[in-house]
Amino acid sequence: MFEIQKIIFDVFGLFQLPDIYHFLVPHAGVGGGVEAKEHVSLLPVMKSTLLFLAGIGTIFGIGLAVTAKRFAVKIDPKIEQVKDVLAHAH
Amino acid sequence: MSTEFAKIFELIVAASLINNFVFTRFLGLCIFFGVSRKMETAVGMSITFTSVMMISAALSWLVFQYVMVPLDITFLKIIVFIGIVAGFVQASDTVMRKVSPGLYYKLGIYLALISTNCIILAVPLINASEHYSFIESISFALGSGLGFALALIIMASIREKLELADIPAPFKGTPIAFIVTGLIALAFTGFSGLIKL
Repeated sequence: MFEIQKIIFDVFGLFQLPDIYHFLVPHAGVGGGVEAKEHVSLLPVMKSTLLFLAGIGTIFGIGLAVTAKRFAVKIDPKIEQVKDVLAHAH
Repeated sequence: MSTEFAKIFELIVAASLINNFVFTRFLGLCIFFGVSRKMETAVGMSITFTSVMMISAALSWLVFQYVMVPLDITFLKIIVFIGIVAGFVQASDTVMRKVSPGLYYKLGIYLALISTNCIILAVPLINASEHYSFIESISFALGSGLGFALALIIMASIREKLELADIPAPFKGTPIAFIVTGLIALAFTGFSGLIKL
């Protein structure tokens, strides 16, 4: 819990306040892995969550961008223009 | 080896007939009613659906087992599986448009519908919570896809006949489809208890 306080203080540059952050950061009871646990230390879970989500987001983003670039289909703008000029039969 | 085969066969039968996603769990109904109006779209949808489901089940099994379980962050599974399925569907959509335009013209419209489907999401979630192995996950996905295809094809063939039937005016269209679905679901309860898993 002190680690979280330290991180919060580092981020916001605050002074050490009384133990108010015990209320803000709840004690996790159940969760984490496949099996339910009695106690979960929140900090590593938060760290790995953020890292994992950022990582998977980056991977998917770059992958989708690369595929979109490599497999781009050229669509001739003339097709739309010609279709616009023609009678709309639908 | 033979017991393993028997287990996988049981899994496929259970997923496709006994716990059929449409008729027993009532998931994926919007696609089910949207696509089952014609036989042709029903067949296209079921082919696309089964293949996407198997590949996304395999992908999400790999991510779940090798990344999320060691990192102890399995509570993120819903959000991560949605992301994996959507990303995979988008990528395959892009690749298919370039590589095989004919297939894209046939099946591309269904891909966009699939990316946020609840059966596609339910299969990795069930795989994760039941601790299935890789082969079991894929066969579960195959069974669910076959079950969905069966449901779609039954429904499409009935609805094509219903177009010509003499239905009271308030029941025309979707209401009679719901009633027929309920009746088929009632029939599908006959499969319950076929296999004890």
